[in-house]
This record gives sequence, C-alpha cells and structure tokens, in this order.
Amino acid sequence: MACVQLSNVGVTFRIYDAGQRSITRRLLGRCEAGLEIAALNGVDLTLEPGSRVAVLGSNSSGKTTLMRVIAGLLPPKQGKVVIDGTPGAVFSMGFGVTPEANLADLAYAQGLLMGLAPAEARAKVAAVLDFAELTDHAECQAHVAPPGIMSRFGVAAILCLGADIILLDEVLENMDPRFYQKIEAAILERAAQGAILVMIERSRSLLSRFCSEALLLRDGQIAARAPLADMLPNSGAALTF
Amino acid sequence: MLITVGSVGLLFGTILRRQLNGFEEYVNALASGLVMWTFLSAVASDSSIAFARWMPILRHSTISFSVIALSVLLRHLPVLALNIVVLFALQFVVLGLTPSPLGMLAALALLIVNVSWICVLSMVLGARFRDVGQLVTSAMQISFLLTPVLWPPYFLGRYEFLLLFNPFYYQLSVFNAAAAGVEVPVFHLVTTAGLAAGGSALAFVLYRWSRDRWPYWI
Repeated sequence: MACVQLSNVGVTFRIYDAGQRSITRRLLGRCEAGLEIAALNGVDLTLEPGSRVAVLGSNSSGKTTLMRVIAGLLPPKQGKVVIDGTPGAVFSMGFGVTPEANLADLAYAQGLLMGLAPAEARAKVAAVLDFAELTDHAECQAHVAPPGIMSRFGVAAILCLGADIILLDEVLENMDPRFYQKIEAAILERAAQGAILVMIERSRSLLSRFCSEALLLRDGQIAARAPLADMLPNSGAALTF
Repeated sequence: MLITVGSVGLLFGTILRRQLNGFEEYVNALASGLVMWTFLSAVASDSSIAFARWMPILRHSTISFSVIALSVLLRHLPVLALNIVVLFALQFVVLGLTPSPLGMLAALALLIVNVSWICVLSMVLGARFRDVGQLVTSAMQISFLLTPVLWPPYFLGRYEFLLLFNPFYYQLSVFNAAAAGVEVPVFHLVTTAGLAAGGSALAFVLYRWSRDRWPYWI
C-alpha cells in the first residue's frame, strides 16, 4: 500500500544566468543573486492508496515540480514529505537514460535504480521489453529510439519493476494509442492493490480514462481537489486545456 | 603512456643531461610521475562535468552522490592499474628496479583518497558553476609545470624549499619513492596523509552542504 503525504511543502528555484553560473565572477564579486521563483508554495497533499490523480494547471503552475517532489527527486526547501512506496517517474523530457546504452541494458539499470537485486533486475529485463513490445529492439540504442518508443519503454519499466507510486508527466500522447488499454489494465490492477497514479496530460479523454480525481494547481498552490468529472467542466480546469 | 615517457624522457633527458644527477633516475621519476599525474588530472577534470553527464538520469531517478563519484573513479582506475603494470615492467626490465610493495600500497591508497576528495570538490563545484571544468583543467596544467614531474626537485637549488608549499609535491614524492623501491620520506608521507584526512573532511562538509542543493542546480 503506497502513500504520499506533503505538509506545507515549498520549492523555490533560483534561476541563474551565464554570469551567475561562473565561479570566477562569483569570486570577483561581480554577479548578482539569481532570480527566485516559487514553484510550489505551502502545498498540503495526501494521496491515499489506490488514488488515481490528474494534476491540472496552466504552464508554470508547478505541476512537474510537484511530480519531482513526489518522486523524491527534489528535496523541498520547506515543509515535510513522507513517501511510503517505490516511486517510478516518466517525464515528457525523456526517460532517464544514457544515450549510448541499449534498451536491454537500460531495463536492467532501471531495475537496479529501483532497488532490485542484480539477479532480480536481470530477470525482469525480458518482462519490461515484452510489455513495451520491444523485444526485437533490445539492442537498439536509446539515442536512435524515437520518443514514442522511449515512452513505451519508460512506462513499461516502471510498471514491470514494481513501482507503486506511478508518475506520468505528458508521456502517453506520443505513443501508439493501442498501448493505452494495456497500460490502463496494468494501472487499474496496481491501484486495486494500493498503488498510486499521478498523471499530467493535456488530453481530457486520456485523463478521464486513467484518473478518478483531479488536483488544480495555480501559482504553485493547490487551488482545488475534486473528482475528475466535477473538475473538468470547471472553469479553473480550462487553464489546462 | 609508453610513448609519452619515451618521447618526453628522451627529449628532456637529452636537453637536461648535463644538469641531471643520473639519466636512469630521471626517466624513472618521470615515468612514475606521469602515471600519477595522468590519473590525478583526468579524474579532476572529468569530475567537474560528472553531474552534467548524469543529468538525464538524475532528472528521473534518485541516484546517490557516491555512485556518481564512483563512476568517475572507476572510469580511470583501470587506466591507472594498466599504467602501473607497464611502469613496473619497464622499471624491472630497463632499470632493474623493483618497487617496495608496502610503500606502493600506502602510496596508492593515499593517492586514491586524495584524488577522491578532489573529485568530490570538483563535482560539487562543477554542478553549481559551469566554468569550473575550464578552471580545473587550467589549474592542473599550471600545477603540472610547477610540480617536479618533468624536472627533478634539485633543479631549484636553494629555492627547493618552495616545493613545501606545493601540495601535489608530497603525493608525487611518496608515489615516486615507493615506485622506485626507495625509502619514502616520512615527512612527505605524514603530510600526504594529513592532506588526505583534511581534504576528505572538507569534501564531506561540502557534500553535506550540497546534498539538498544540487537537485536545484542541475
């Protein structure tokens, strides 16, 4: 049973320009402090086992930052994060890979990164490639694989390697729609066992298919949380679409 | 490494022949010095871009700092091991020298500890500041010229004491002495161990300070 609890979480990014990235200028006292941007501000959120949540909001409202905090990739500047479970994240900017590695090696490495023992991770490689229907592409290097292939591979990896906090950030739209049914079945099965799904998408139909409730983020704060069916017609959710 | 030692040894050995105490001694120190320096400078330069290289993965997966540091060290340790084997073979075949096993183990352990803390400093600063890579490369080039790798310490004459202010000199002296199978100067050994301890403490403090910051820098 997975669980996520965020209490008064705040994330502030300092944006550095080239000069502020220079240690020489810094030592000479010739650079100003970077611009500070509050990406999340006082976020309180509890995701119970079995939650399937869509995160809605306009550009730069803090959706991806929230995902990164839940994934444990970004320690917040303030507040407390309790993550009970194994997060698995796939972001639209590309599944985390070394470009020269092939898909079989990446599946193995992802298993190790998600805490599996080497033998267990090795044994899961075939399952990941099979789920993604990429067995014939096992030797294909990541840098020559199209984005849709990498999305399939990323989602298959987190589903087959035991992630129970599943975080998908705009990854479904660039894969073949016939995979949706397979992914939906796997996610529903996991959710029934207590896994959590958090999803960012721009397609109402995809969100309706995968999620049961929605969070609306506005300026780094949770403006609303409601069942997805109630949230979608709401004017606030129109910011997303 | 063989080509470097052969060409540099012949060139500098010939140019400096009249000033050298002994040609074999010079080539031996040059070879072991280059082996050590190649490892040190390669790790220092590579560390400064380690976070940039791991960025695609760090944005998706939680990876501990030590894994990234180890990835840099493990990339260069096999090269060091191979160079040491070649060095020992050359010393034995050409010069008839054998290294002191205990001294070599101590010198290698100290070298790896010292290189590791330099690696951590370079990694953390390189994650925050983009020009650290260039600065490290320049600093290592200048240090190479100021450290007695290409020239023997006695060339400085009455200014030889200035080497006491060069932190790389102690490690080089320990490594060269151990590789040549001669007695390692105790003061140099103690100072190298002190640098290893102090540098490791500094690296640990910097690591603790940066632990929650570097996800914001990458």
